[in-house]
Amino acid sequence: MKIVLLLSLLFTVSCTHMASVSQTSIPAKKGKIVKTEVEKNIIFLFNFSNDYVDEINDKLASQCENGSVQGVLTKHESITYFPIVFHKVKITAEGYCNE
Amino acid sequence: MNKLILLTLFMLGGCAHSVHQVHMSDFSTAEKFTAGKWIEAQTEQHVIFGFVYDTNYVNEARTKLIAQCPNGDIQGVTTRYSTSLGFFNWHNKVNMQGLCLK
Amino acid sequence: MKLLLLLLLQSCAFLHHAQVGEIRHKKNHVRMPFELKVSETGIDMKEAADVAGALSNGNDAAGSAQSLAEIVSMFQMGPRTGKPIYNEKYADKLAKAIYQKCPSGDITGLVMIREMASYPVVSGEIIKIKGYCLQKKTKRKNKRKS
Repeated sequence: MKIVLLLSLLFTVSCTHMASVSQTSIPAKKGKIVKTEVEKNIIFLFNFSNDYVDEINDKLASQCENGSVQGVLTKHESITYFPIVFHKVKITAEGYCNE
Repeated sequence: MNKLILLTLFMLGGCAHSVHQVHMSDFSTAEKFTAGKWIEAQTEQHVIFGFVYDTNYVNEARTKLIAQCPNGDIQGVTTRYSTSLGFFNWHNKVNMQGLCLK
Repeated sequence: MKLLLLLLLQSCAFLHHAQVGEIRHKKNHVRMPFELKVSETGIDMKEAADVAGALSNGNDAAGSAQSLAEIVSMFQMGPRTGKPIYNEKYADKLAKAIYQKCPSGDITGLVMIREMASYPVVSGEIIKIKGYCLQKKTKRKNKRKS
């Protein structure tokens, strides 16, 4: 029974897991779609900084310099390539650039 | 009596859920509740043995929501992310609700 | 028994997610605070079996209760936040409830919290919204009686 539970735990953490999702208000006027992502590879669960997330705002804004980005869908995913040993954290943001 | 307890336990085990997050967007246009129409979209992803490689169902939920209000503002978008638990398989669900203002 | 009762009375608050929205100010408007909270009871079958085991002083019933809980927990696999609940739609009416609190729709400063009040076996899976409804200032007229 314990082996089955251990195996099920390993399966649960493998592959893609979405940690959170959010959607801001969607405008009637939908300009061109702008999308960006930031990610970080994590080995043996050692992670000492989450500053890479701060870049996402500038990266999204740089694609829409003369307008505003609205209707932003943000996803925070964790992709496990090998349980405990190696995984990646990815934040994706996608919205409409209205000028 | 024991059978009844067993059945109840299995029923409790079979329809369990977990709500991970509820997010609500801003209300920037300050329109009255009666000015718009409530719209809702839900998509889900069936996961077997934990093997899943994308989260495209989230984008599908957003597309389905916009399709119900193509030329309007969607305010107060409430996004619920939950999982319906199961036996070596489960369903990840995203439910989006909003007020469509035309 | 006293120790068990002490454990049963303990509770912890876990914060799962917090969100802060835009904050707007308007001239000649006052900010009226509002708060909404919905909660659903979560049940942990494994903990239920452990408590049953502790209460029955390690007899056969405790062993069978634990095995049963392990079987039931196999039907509750998947990513979890808090303890499993039996109604996932309990928070779906929140957006409409906000409009009832603030019919003008002039809402700002939304703070949304997903938290858990955890007790042994059961929990309160809570979703809380706090915000402000902007309302026009009403002018006081001092009518003099002639």
